[in-house]
Order: sequence, then C-alpha cells, then structure tokens
Amino acid sequence: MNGIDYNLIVIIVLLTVTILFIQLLLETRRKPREPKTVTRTLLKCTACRETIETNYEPGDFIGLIKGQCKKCNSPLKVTAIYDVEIPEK
Amino acid sequence: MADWTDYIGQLIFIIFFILIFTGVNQRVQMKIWSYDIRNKLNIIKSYVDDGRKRVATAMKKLGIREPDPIIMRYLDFFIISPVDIEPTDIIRRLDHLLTTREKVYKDSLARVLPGTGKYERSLLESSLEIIGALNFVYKVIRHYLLLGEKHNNWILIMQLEFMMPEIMRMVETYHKALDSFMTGRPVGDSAGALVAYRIMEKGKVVSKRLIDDTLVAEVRHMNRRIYVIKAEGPGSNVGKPGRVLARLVEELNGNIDLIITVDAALKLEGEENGEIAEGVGAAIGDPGPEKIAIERAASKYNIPLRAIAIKMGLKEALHTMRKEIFDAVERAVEYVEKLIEEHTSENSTVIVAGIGNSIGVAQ
Repeated sequence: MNGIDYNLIVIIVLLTVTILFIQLLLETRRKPREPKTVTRTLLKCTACRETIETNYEPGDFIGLIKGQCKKCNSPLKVTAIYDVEIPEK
Repeated sequence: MADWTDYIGQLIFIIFFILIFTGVNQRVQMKIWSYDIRNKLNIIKSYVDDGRKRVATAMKKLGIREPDPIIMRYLDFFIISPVDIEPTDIIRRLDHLLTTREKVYKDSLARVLPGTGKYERSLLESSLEIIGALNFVYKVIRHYLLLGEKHNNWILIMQLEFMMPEIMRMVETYHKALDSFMTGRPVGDSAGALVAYRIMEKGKVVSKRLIDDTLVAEVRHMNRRIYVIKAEGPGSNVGKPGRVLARLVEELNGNIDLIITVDAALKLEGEENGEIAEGVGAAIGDPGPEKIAIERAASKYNIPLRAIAIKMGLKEALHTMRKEIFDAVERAVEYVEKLIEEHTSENSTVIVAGIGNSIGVAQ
C-alpha cells in the first residue's frame, strides 16, 4: 500500500530487537578485564642509598634486612613492597 | 489472504497482552533473576570452598592433621552486638566483646599450633576472618533468595538482583585479599602503619615498647619529641592504637602539643587512589572503642587532634599495596612533617598514630 513494504519493516524491527537482546546478554556476561599485576620488592642500601627493585619473595616484609649492596657491601633493607601492572603486549 | 508477518504481529500482540494481564511476565522475570542470583551464589560458594581449601593446606603445612573442624568452628563464629537501647557504658561493653573475640581466635590458634610463631598465626587468623565474612555473605544471599522464591516475592528477588553486582565486587575483593593475607604482603590498609614506620626510619629512635600488640616508639625528629604509634608488624594485626594512645597521653599528663592520626580511607567514586586529605578528628575506622579513646584523651587535655586520610577503594585497601598507594604514603609522610612544622615549635611533643593493619610492615 502506497509503496510501503510492511514485511520489510517487521523484519527490520525483529532483527533489531534480536540484535539488541543478544548484545545486552553478552554485555551482562562480559567481565571487565583485570590488569595483571606483579609484586615487587624495593631494596635500599643502608649506607649509599642505592635502590634495587626485585620480584617479591615469600617472607619479604618492609624493614627486613636482605642481602648486601653490590656497590658498598652494606646491608640492603626492604623499604617497599608493592604491586605494579604488567603492560599488555 | 493475510500475510505471514500479520500473523507474527498478531501473535506477539496476543502473547504480550496475556503476559501483561495475567502477571506471568513478572513470574518469567523472577525466574530469570533467580537463575542469575543462583549462578552468582554458586560463584560465592566456590570462593568460600577455595578459601577453606587454601587455609586447610596452610594449616596442614604447619602441622595440623585435621584442619577442617578448626576452620568450621570459625566459619560461623559470631558476635552479638551489645544492647543499645540502654547506651550507658556501651563502648566499654563493645570493647569487651571485641577483645574477647580477638582473644578467642588468638588463643584457639595458639592451642592448636603451639610451635608456630605469632606471625604465621596472625596470617591464619586474618584468613579465617576473610572466609568467615565470605561465608556470611553467602548465607545471607541464599536466605533472601530462598525466602523470595518461597513466597513468590518478586520485589525481594528484584532488590537482590540489582544489588548483586555490588555484592559480587565486594566478594571478589575479599576472595582476592586472601592472596595478600596468606603470604603477608602489605595491603593498602597498611598505609597508615607504613607512614608511622617511615617517620621512625627518618628520625632517631630513642626507645621502643610494645603494649597490647601495639608499638610505641619515642623518636627524635625535626627537633621534636615524636611518639610513633603503630600496630605490631609484620604480622596481620591492627593493634589497639586508641587504647595505647590514651594511655600514653595519661603517662605524659597531657603534655602533648599535637596528635596526628593517619589512616587509609575509602574513597568516593570519582576520587583518585592515593589522594591525600587533611582534617580534624581521629582517622580510624574501628567500630568505636579505639576512636572514642583517642577523642576522649585529646579533648580531656585540649590537645589539637588532626587527621590525614589516604584515599583508596575497597579493592586497593584489601589487596597488596599498589605503587600509587606507596607513592601516596611518601607524600603523606611529608604532609605529616609539614603539619608538625606548622603547628608546633621546636622541642614540642607530638604523637603520630599510623592506623591500620601492619601486615608486611615491621618496626
């Protein structure tokens, strides 16, 4: 009637509703990706203040004397333990 | 002859009409919501089971042959709130209940793990508390889901469904917090304790003593006498900073020029992690007894009470300390020093209380 194709309109509406429904379903199921992190231990020389960042090892805590400074042989102290994000490749 | 699209159109209209006027649409919606809540409930259950397994493995490594009965005992451990329609001495009663609860946990673990150090026991204690919290959330959600289904209460189910994303975020945060608490890594909540530690490190420590699992260190720094208070570390421990601070104020007969409390504070949405805010009052998030002890001690002797808050989300507070929180700690130390410099003169006496869990932070 008057050149309007009602079949086409119904098909478009049904398709749109289906696509929107699927998209909504996928969106509710999709979880935001958590950035991957790694725990690092920051060691500081008690004499020359040289800092070294290493991977965290179980048993590390802030204030722990751990190893010796390569520069001056003085004790190294754990001054920080923190998580850093691993950049995505 | 009618076209097939007309039939589809009419069919959709009739179905829509029937659903609307018979209330079936609500039933269908309720079933969809119930299904979704049940799925999420299963995830929470898997977190509880996983936590139990991890704690059981850790206990077995420490020499307990049958860890399950011990874990089960603390899974449903509860505390009955003190009577509040008669508020007289409610703080004392609440403090007594909290202290008793803490003692029960500590003594029981010490009994079953006699050869294990305080550090390991504190980590287990916190892990048990995390599993207990997860189990409680699981039971409450299951209760409301079953109640809603039993009485066809779609309003209850709807409320639960809309609250589930927030609950799941909290549950996932608690579950992941086990990683940090089982290994003893500093968490975001350790920020206050770390600020206290840094001040001790920067100054010259004159004396140290432990009272109620809380450290009091007298430090000479910036030509001032600074008493640093923090929970004993590096185990998982929040100490009794309020009680200890009040005791210290009494010992010094109130001759203190400034009290500064530093704590991690939950940020509002839109605020950045690691933002520092300054204010007045006791920055401490305990249920009441510790905070009121600080307020009473400060007001009794008219000592200015300042607060520094390091803002972070719940996730950042309970998970291993992020780099940006560590950087904020460094800035907070400078902030504390600035406050001391601005509000006290040389040779003044200042108390700096680093509030929060001292996990991973020694003294």
